[in-house]
Amino acid sequence: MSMTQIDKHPTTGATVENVASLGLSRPPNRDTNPFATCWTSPGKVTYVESDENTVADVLHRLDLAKGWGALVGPHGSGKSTLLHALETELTKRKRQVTWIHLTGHFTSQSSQITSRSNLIPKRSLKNISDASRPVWFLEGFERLGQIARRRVLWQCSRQQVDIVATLHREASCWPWRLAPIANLAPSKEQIEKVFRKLNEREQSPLVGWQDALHALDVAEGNLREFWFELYSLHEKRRRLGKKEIRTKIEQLS
Amino acid sequence: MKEDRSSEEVELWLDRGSRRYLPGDVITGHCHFESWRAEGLQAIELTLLWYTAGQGEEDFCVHHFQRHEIDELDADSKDFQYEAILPASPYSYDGEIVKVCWTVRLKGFFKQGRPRVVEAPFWLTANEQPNEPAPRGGA
Repeated sequence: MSMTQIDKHPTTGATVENVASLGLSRPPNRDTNPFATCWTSPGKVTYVESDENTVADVLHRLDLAKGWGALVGPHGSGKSTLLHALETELTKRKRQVTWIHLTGHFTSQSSQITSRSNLIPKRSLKNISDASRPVWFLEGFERLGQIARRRVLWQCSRQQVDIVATLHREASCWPWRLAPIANLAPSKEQIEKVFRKLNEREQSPLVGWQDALHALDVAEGNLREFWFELYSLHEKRRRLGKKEIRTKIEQLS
Repeated sequence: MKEDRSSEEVELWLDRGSRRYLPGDVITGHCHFESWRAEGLQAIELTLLWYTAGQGEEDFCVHHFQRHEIDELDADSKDFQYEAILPASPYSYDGEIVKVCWTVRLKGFFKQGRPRVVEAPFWLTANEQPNEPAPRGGA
């Protein structure tokens, strides 16, 4: 990035470029913090495959489960991140993917899934093949009660679609069954890979892996809370650094 | 569509190098995209916008937009100038939980590959002194 003018700082006489390098007058932007939501939200963080849960394995298990499966894991364990990775692969395989975000007030939104299903063209039962069936991602399925879950699955069975739903734990949805196709509990190695990739963008990282391990303990394995902890730590240290720089400039002037 | 933000070879300039602007100021600059042109540039967009960054969902608002198809530009054109009047708000804000970020964004679309983006952030403030990050608990 070039500047055509060089301004002098009123107090130190330093050039603006030097002042900016001290971090005092740099405008805020999404690169200010490597752990901001724009970098760590599902879909933005790359899914790091484990030995048990590669994308290909998960889709193979979905096929074995006749197209109805569930990603099982606690809050912040990477279910939505895996859904994004599955979407990329399914799109490459020319499958139509539809996201359906379900809330706890599903009964008031039951018409929503109906209207969404109306958007999907009805298919002739004769020529339908598994390879051409649309895939619905039921994100937030865990928030629904038993009756709402059965209503959703009844709608899906009428529409002849494949399903990948998110659940906190395996659950019975009699008479239907959502087979668990991935049990998610990210390992420290997977988390470290993502952490280091995010931190690569910092010339002088303010947060190290030891800090991250402490944050992981505080967050009790919840990755969403883990990124929030690192974000806050980075902000605190950035402000502390600026305070020290301001003190030095005041001492010089 | 994911964007490639590693376009160091393209230059996006703000004429006031201090990057601090007041409401009502005219922001001017120019961009140089010769290397993009050589790589099959199809269209180029210049946007002046603010967006939020931090711990929540991102919000944004476009204040100024211009798009040029490659056919509209002269065959040997490698740069163009831009100019816009800045609004009264929102001010740039470097908060702990949320930041309000003003930027000029240059986005190139190519025959093949992802769009590429270069940004030049700047301050929109109530005064010309460098804005300090908001202390914990708010401004």
